[in-house]
Amino acid sequence: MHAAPLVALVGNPNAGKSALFNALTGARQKVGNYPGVTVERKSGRMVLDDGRPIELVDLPGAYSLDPSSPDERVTRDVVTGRSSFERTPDAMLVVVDAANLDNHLRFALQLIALGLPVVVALNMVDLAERDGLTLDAATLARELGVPVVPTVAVRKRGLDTLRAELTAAIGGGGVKPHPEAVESITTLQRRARQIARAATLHEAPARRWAHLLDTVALHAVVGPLLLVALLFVMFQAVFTWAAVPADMIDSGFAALQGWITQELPAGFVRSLLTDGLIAGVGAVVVFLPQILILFLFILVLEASGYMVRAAFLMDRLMATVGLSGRAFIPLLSSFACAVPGIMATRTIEDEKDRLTTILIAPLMTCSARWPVYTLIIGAMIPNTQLLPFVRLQGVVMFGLLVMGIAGAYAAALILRRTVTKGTSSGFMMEMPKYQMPRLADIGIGLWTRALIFLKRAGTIIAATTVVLWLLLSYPKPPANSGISQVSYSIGGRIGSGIEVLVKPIGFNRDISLALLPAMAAREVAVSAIGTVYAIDDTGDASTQKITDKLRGRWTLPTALAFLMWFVFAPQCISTIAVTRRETNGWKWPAFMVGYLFAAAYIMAGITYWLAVFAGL
Amino acid sequence: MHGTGKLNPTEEIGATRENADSTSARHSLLIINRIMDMSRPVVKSISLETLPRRQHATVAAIDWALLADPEARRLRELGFDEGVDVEVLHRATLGRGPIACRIGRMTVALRRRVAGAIHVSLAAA
Repeated sequence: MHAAPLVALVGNPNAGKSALFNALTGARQKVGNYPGVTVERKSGRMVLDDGRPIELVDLPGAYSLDPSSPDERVTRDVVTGRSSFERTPDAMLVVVDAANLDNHLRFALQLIALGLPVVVALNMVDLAERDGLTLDAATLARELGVPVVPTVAVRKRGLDTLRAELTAAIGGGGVKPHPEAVESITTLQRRARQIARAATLHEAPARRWAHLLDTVALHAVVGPLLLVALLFVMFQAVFTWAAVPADMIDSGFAALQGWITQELPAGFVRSLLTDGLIAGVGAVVVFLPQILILFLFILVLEASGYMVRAAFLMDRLMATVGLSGRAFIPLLSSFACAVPGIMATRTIEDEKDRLTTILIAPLMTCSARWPVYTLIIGAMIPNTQLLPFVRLQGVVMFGLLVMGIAGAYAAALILRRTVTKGTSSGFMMEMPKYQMPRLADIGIGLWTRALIFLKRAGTIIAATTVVLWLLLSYPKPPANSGISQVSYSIGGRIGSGIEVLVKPIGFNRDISLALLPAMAAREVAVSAIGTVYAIDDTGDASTQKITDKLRGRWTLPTALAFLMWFVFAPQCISTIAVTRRETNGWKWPAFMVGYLFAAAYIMAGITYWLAVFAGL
Repeated sequence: MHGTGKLNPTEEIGATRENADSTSARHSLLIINRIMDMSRPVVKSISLETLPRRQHATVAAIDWALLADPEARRLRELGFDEGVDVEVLHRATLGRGPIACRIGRMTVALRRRVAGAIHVSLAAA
């Protein structure tokens, strides 16, 4: 056992831990600014001055060793040596915000009392100076009894000294942490304030410009209007900015398809590549620009510190369904994708609050639904101009988005009174300082998202598309039998079986076929429909665009029911998997899938029959 | 709605009015206090919930009994303690939204019910 020594990076939320981690290891991870953005284990390697390699693990931000949320529990377990996933650290690098010593020193004192070798990084000293604070690191080191190094992680200042102190601190190892200190939070807090006062050479009143920003952002009237305007711009940008790059990707795939058709002889391989793989994956990759734009907004809102202000403004509304403003942050992320959204619920302290948020997160209109919505709306809804700048297609799209939110609202209202009953934990949150988001951090965040998405497109989506293509292509019907390929195939027969179930809500065989592979991911529905029609159509019809094919085969009530189905249906393996992981079992994912399918079936049925009776 | 059933009495409009009525009586008491004991700063006690915006105050007492355990713990962890400097910065949204207050050099968002449990003393300038 000659594993590299383990150093745990610990500190309060907003102490700049993640930035320091990036600066020290060069590893890449998301750097955010709302309390507790670090929700996954992040580790990286660094080399000490004497050549020894060490492993640095970035632990979730915490306020004390008395955990009140799942991510704080991880931190407590690791530093006290009782984690089942992590060995006991050989040393701790404790990060404190220089501008918030009063508060951060208390946790530092608690950590130092554990008895492991500690080096304190007095981080963000530049911001503290801008804030009018002059601090004496030497006094601080004397009072705490451990080395204290002033750092500015984002500018890589003080890192050499930090590395030198760590080299000195990590000795023979094998130190066992003491049992947790018995001193009360209040006692520690008072001691922390004393030390902070002793180490402060000069102090000017807290900065006013941040308060000025908040005067606008948190204003009783202007604040909510600003939030609504921001969200409007965000969704608007997703659709307008993405148009050009999406067209480019689209024509890229079309060119590839054309090239393969030209170069390869007609047959199994060509059909598999063009009808199966490229048609399927291409239909999904087109949405990469939209997803990245959405994540760009979310990352900037997080990194700037505005996200917690949004949570503050939303708290009142969330309270009416028994949730808190804190739930707004994961729910907003869920508009891009429910998977990171559900993971972000780890910062919610109350178990029932957190569970409710997880259960309703899939109702937010995630980016996987847009391919489905865009295709069906584009094909089936006339784009009539209703008002200047307002067209019917846009209204329907917006309606689906609102439907998801309303569904989530209703679901939370019911869940909080039944299965996740309990008193709300309330809303208590530190509001981080406003910060200019760093371009590099945003870039890293976007890059990570793009990779995850493309990996999904290349694996789950490609695989299900190919399997569907195979199921629909074989066996071949007898020549001149007059039976279509799709009807005769294995897939077609499965589809006919499902059709019996979904016929009452207006779904046809093609939809039944698309629903099954779309369990893997919603956007597969689009490629699946594409594949069904690509295989079935020969001759002239095969050159028709998919939208024209839809118009010929679907009625408007069916299309509307299909859209409504996708507002609710939990068709996403990744979401179900992450829910299982986050709730430690199959009970809640099973419940989630059940209630969402029931809602989807009922709502789609209502939509279909209303549309039929309305004569649409 | 959820949670509102357990409001601290000082949140009720009636209670606020009652406070206003008793102000003059308390005021004369304060004057007597001032005359009697010059060494102690003259203070009047109100809760953080009713503290006017931008008014510097110190935490006089926290009614821990009104708070649930996790709430009380988090409040302590955010540094709320007797003698600490506080100031209300913002009151959110029309209606009964949360409060943003400055404590030390931190800005913290609290619900009104919690703020109502935090009694503050206002240095009579």
